Amino acid sequence: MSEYASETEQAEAIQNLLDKGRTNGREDPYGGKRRWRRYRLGTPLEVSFDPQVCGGSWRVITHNVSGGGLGFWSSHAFTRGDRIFVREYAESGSAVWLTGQVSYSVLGLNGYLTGVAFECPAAPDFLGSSMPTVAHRTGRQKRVQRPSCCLPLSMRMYAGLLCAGSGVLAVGTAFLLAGYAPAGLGAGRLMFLQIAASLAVGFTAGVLGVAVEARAIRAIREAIDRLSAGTPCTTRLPAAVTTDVARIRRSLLDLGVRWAEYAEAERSQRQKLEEINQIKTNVLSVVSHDLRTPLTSIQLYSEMLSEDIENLSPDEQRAFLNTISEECLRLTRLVSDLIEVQRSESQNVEWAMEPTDLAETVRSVARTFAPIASQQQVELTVECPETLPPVAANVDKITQALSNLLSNALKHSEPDGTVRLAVEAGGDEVRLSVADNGPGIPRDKWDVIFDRFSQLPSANLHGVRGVGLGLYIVRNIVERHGGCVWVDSALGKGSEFTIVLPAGEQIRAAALSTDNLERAGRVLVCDADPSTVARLSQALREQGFEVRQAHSGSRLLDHLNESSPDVVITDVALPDMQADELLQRLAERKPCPFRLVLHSMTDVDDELRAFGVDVFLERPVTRDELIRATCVAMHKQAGGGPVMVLLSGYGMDVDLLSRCLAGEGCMPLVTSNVSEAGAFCHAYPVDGVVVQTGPEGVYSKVIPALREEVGPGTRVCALTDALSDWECQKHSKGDLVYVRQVSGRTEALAESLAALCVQAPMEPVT
Amino acid sequence: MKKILICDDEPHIVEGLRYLLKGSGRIIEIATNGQEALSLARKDRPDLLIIDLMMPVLGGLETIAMLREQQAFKKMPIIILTAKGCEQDNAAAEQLWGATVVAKPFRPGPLRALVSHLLEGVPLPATSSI
Repeated sequence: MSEYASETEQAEAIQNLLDKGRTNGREDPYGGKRRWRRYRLGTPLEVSFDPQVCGGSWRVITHNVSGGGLGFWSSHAFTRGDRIFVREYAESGSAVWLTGQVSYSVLGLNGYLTGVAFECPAAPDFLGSSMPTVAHRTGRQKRVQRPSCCLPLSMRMYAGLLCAGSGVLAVGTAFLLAGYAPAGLGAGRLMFLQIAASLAVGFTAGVLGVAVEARAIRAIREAIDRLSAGTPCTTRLPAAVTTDVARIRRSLLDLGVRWAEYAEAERSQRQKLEEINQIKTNVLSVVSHDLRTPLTSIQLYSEMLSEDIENLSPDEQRAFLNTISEECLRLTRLVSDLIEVQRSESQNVEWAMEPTDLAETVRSVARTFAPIASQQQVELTVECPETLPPVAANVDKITQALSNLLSNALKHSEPDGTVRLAVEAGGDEVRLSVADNGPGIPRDKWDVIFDRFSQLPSANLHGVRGVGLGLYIVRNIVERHGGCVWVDSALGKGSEFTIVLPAGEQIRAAALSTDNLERAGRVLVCDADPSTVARLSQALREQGFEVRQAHSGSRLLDHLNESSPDVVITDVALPDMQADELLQRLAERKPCPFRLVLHSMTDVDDELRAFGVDVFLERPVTRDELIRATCVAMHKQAGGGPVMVLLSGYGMDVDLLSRCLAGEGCMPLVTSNVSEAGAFCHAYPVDGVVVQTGPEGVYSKVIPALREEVGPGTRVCALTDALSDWECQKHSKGDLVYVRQVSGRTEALAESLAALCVQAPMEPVT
Repeated sequence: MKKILICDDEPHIVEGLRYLLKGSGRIIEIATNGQEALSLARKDRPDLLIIDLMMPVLGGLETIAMLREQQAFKKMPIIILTAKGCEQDNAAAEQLWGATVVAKPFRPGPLRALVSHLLEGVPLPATSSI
């Protein structure tokens, strides 16, 4: 088409095109309403007009644009608002340039861009291909804005595709030229042309390669700049062509990950220091209070003695002196408790743990306390079997823990009260309990009393002066034995402290070094039953989580205000609060903690789901289940990548794939069992299931079985090495996506799996 | 007769104070927490309150605040015994409630002098430090 002779002619051409667009819309068998059309690879794009969707503006909708008008840059993912120019087929011999803002672009399999929708004003800029002057004049031939994020895999593919395309073109040109050559043209000339053609191929490939590489390097440089400026690299780096650049890219990614780890470690270190500082302040104020009180008595009585000794009767003098010595003993106890706390907290000191029959220990502690009990007119009973299964224990420490519990019980017993020390072996544990019939401890304090220097001195609980360290020491000793301790109490009836220690087969050497794992995250565990709380807490603490406990709804809410936990694990049947109120209050929290609810129902009430419970844990919860659920919760709460179930089998290298997925920020859950994979999908917020189909490809029987188990709506990524990329694309439908697996490319595979699982499911295609 | 109400949850301190402050023309009453102190105060209208801060059931500051709300106790002299050692709290208590703060451990002689001063108007010795 030649240049338009006049403005009028140009306007007419535009009108023609507009009409054509409208006609296309009307003739559309779907009434011009559908949003997507599918084009074969290489089909020239058409312009359609859909006033209902576009609201009076033009909309170009393309699919499979790889061979079409979007050409090379179709490998970019565009973000909304990007301004692009598209050269479109209009009528034979002419082309049209459309310019507009991207409304959305769709990523297809393996990160290919399969569709772009963009809107342009009602009267688009029509720049005929034969009208370069117009284009220059308007200065709009700048092609496309640099996309803000790129897709790594596709770049290489496209470079290859285009190289091949140019090669064919060049060879064709060569033959064409050869055909037109005079008959006398010798073989040498032909060969020259062939050489020229292959040089052209090489040159094109080189240019493209350099272009891709330059892009990769620029992205790398920007990432380094960001890193040095202190912000971690959040966008993904495009893949590189040459090995060296690819290595640099890999190292940079690793560096980014490590940087983030260091930053996180530094942050948690700082937080810990602040907490320690706070604790130190509290300790000082409590210790000073607890030191001053006995000192007051000592000073008061000793000065009164010395000033007034002639007026005091011998009995009064003796009473004063007794008081002074009692208060001195109290000071001594405080000091030795402080030293004990310091000792039990220093993890460097190894405790000698030996397989021990605790029966003898228990009896000897009871013998020590018998005279004190009878002096106080308290009945001390001991229930202990002849022998107990061996427990890995440090006898001195266990003796101290029991002594602390017994002396507490005696302290809080009235004359004629009873204190019962009982030991029993059950399953793979030994339970030691100390019960009294004293005033009892309110439910809200069941967790606080085990804390170090709970801010309230113990007098505020029972009206009896103590140092407030005894139970903290007990907890410390028991936890270093891999066990747990809790209190159950009824006001006015008494309290029962129970220590559970692993015995027999359960003896774990690892129990000694519970601080190996340093996981970041605070968990709040709440249940009406103190033993459940203690056992769950112990399992979580062993994993390095920071655990707070609550035994009532009101205490749970207190903890929320004090420590804002990342994850809350709670029962909904609490003594002081209705389930809906509790969940409502949890959901209102900002930031809202991840909510795991313990339940023993066979079917979970829809009402509970409506309150935004994230995960349900059915009782009895196994240790593995608990830890898995908590890790998923922490991952989600920290804004981590997709959670994926890996169904191992067919020689899938689960370890490697898990590692690579974790490297991509995903959380892999590994199972070898289809029904367990299904259970994971129902229990946790899973973003995708990865399964190996093996040589059977699409005929693999595991796929239908798995889809049956996981139910609709969960994305299944089927790995296969039996299908080509194109076949993979063909067989993928809805939530089932086939992904070609190339051996030795696990990293890249993990990358594309991670990308697949964060995408919205594909739009239905007509 | 002057009535002194001593409120502390430490039996040794209470008994020591009872011995220290006893004298002709004085009645000494004992409460072990703020709640008891409130009901005793309403019943017996003491002339002086000696109170600890950290106590079970109802703490010292809360007790003082509730007493001062009532007209009858607006002018009653109060001595606060505290083991907390928090200067700001002490200053606030002195300004807000017009109470005298005595830090534990205290010396018995000066405390006795202070009580005599508050109850019977005996002038304080020049070098009285508690």
